[in-house]
Amino acid sequence: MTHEERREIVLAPLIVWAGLFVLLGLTWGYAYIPGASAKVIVSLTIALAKGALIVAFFMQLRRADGLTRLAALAGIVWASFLFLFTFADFLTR
Amino acid sequence: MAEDLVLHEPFEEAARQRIAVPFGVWSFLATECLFFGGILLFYAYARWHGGEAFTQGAKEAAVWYGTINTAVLMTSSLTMAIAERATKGGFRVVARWMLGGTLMLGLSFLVIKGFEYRKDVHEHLIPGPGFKFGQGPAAQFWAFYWTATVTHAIHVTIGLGIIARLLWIERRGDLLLHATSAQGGALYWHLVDIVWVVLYPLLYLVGRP
Amino acid sequence: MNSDPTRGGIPERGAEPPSYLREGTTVRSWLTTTDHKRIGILYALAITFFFALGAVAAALIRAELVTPSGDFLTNDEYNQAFTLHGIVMVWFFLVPSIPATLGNFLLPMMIGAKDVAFPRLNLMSWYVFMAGGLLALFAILAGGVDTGWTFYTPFSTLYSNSHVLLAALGVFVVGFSSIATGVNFIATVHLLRARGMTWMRLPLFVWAMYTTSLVMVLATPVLAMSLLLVVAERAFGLPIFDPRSGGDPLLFQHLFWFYSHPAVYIMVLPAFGVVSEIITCEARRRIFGYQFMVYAMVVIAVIGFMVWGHHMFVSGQSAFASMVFSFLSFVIAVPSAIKVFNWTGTLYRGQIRFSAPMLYALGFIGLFTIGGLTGLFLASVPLDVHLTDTYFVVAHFHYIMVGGSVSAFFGGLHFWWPKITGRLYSERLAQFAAISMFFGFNFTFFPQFIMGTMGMPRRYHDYPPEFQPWHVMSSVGALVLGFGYLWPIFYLGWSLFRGERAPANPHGATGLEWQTRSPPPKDNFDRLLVVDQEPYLYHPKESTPDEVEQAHAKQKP
Repeated sequence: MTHEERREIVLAPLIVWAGLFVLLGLTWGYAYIPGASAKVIVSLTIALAKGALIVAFFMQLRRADGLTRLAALAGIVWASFLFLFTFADFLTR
Repeated sequence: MAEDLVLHEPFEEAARQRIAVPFGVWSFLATECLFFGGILLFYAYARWHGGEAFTQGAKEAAVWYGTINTAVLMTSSLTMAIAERATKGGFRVVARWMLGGTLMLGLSFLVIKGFEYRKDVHEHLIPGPGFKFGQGPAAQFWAFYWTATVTHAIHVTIGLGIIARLLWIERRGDLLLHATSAQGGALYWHLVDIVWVVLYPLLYLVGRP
Repeated sequence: MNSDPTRGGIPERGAEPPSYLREGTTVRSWLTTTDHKRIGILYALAITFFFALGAVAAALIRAELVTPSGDFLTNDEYNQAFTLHGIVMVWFFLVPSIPATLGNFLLPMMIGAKDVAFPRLNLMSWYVFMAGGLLALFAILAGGVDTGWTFYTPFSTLYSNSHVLLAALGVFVVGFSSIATGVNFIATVHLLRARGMTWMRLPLFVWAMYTTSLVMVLATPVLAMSLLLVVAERAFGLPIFDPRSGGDPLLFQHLFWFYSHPAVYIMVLPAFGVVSEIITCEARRRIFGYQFMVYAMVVIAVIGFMVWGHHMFVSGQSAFASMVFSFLSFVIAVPSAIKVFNWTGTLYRGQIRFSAPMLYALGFIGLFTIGGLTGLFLASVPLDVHLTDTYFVVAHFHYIMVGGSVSAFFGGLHFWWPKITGRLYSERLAQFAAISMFFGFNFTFFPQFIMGTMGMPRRYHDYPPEFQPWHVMSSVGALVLGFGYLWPIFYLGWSLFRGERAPANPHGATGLEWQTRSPPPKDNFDRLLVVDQEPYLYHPKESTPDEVEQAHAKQKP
């Protein structure tokens, strides 16, 4: 393994992994602060950040071609239709 | 970078085939997103509608098991990512060890989950006769807990099957020619990880003080 | 391309590879095939069986409804009959009908590919389909299901004493075969188009398959989850939709219709594709407004996901949500209307051949228009309050699904029969079948519109005597319709053994699938294809007056 390859194959994922652990610590810690505000939003935001790290770096969507990105995006967009219209009902009963 | 690849039938050129597998798998992952979207919609409704009583149920979730399992699964994602890159780069030994590591971490996830289930059963946390909270939003939280985690565990098991198959291909000696299979398997495994990362705050952090 | 018309479809031994039908003739060679054409035929055999099963249930229902009192079936048996009819016809016949049979067979050929992108996944999808089918069949044999095809909670989860779990599992499993087919088709269209086959040169059938696949891939998983939640509640007693724990049965309806309304477009978009191919060929005209036909299908596929709430106007859904869903349901009528206008526009100044496929296609336009317009009645909240759960609804969706999709399926089956089997059927007998199906269909379902407006509710077998004349009319029409379905079995079956050998391009059509032998060789084409023109060039440009030449027509004041 050359230096270049080692950075590409081992080091880059390790950095992402470290980032994931930092986020895990953050979300766990924040949940235990008594009386902290917006706990739901913070925990979900951190979950999304972790997901984004995995998608962009582990799953290499960052480097994928446009077609693949489109496929990935479609799932999120269509799931948002489901939430949007269902809650359009629940929230206006 | 290894350039040889086993060409499958309809494809005339490797470049197209190399797009096909990730594209196909990503499309499948989009369906997984909607699949779990359905049960998350149930969670959103129950939490919004159940309010404090729902959170009350969530207090009983075993945060330690959940946090350790999150760490285990995130680490398995790391080993999988390295395995996949090593396969593409042509480093067989690294790929083998990392796949083996992923398999072990995945299995430990299931074992830890099993211990957690045992604790939940002991504490009467299965909705139904003898349930700790009786009928109400707390029961809905636990209905979500069981359905979501069992569904996720089934995904983990399928993922372990895929990894076992990759290891078998490696034993046969031509993993490097099946780099696209390794890529597909890795994508699936990462998705299983993401699902858990999303479930973690919903299940374990809701009921904290 | 090999299109020597004198040689016809008879494969010459030695000179060229044999046709796909002769590439191995054992049962094993069929059951392990990865050839998209053979898989299409495996699907066709399977769905024919399920169609027959669903038709038997329909016959039982129509027989029971001849008299106002329930004297032929008991209450439970009647509930099981219409549930069986619904489940089997929707998931085991209509959803896979055109995509899995004609789509599998034609999609790769139309874009000049050897096969679909993932041939083994394609075969697997058939086995998954069969596994789901067997589960559903087992549910029927074990004693049936009585929830209706919609599996509404809390009845399905808390009260029904029938085999809901088995049936739900069967539908759950069959969903994966839909997803597999969808992913496969999308990847095929993206990655395997022949050189020069640009997106705007794709035949409309390919666009129809592509948009259908999008809907399949994005809608089916939500159905899977909603059924999984039903199983969790029914089998394990987990309170998910149970109102006693704060659950909401409407949540199930939202999840269910998020799939099941787009499912209507899974059934009808492929029909659009088939009809576009037939009408252009049999009218010898370029399609009117190609680009708008494409955009209409894409818009339908997307907006189709945002209208599901019009099934829930009287369920207790909020008034605001009902208004939004109602509005969007009106919006989606626009692209559908564009398509109808464009098919009609294609006929203008065409040289129409009233062949059997064309009769089916023309029947489709009429019936789909009626079905679509009555859909607008139901999309309007105040009317729907009156019409909901009446026979008006039953008639409406049968006009779309049977009058629309099944007509188009039969039209497509006839149109491509020479390509698939290499044989010609009797045109006269086929025209007769098409006409009897059209009339039988209208006799069956038009009276149901009238009964519906008069207040006849659906799903009852015991009804007030004043509705009897309409029910008798409907049942007699069903006999004619049944004849329309059975009759093709005889002459198509006959053609398999005694039919004339088909030439490569019997209709003189322009699609790539006609540029190879009938039946095609395993690899579809004997040589690589390059496409250099748009589809449907049935008349050269500049050969007709300006007002007929649609592509660059000058507007006259």
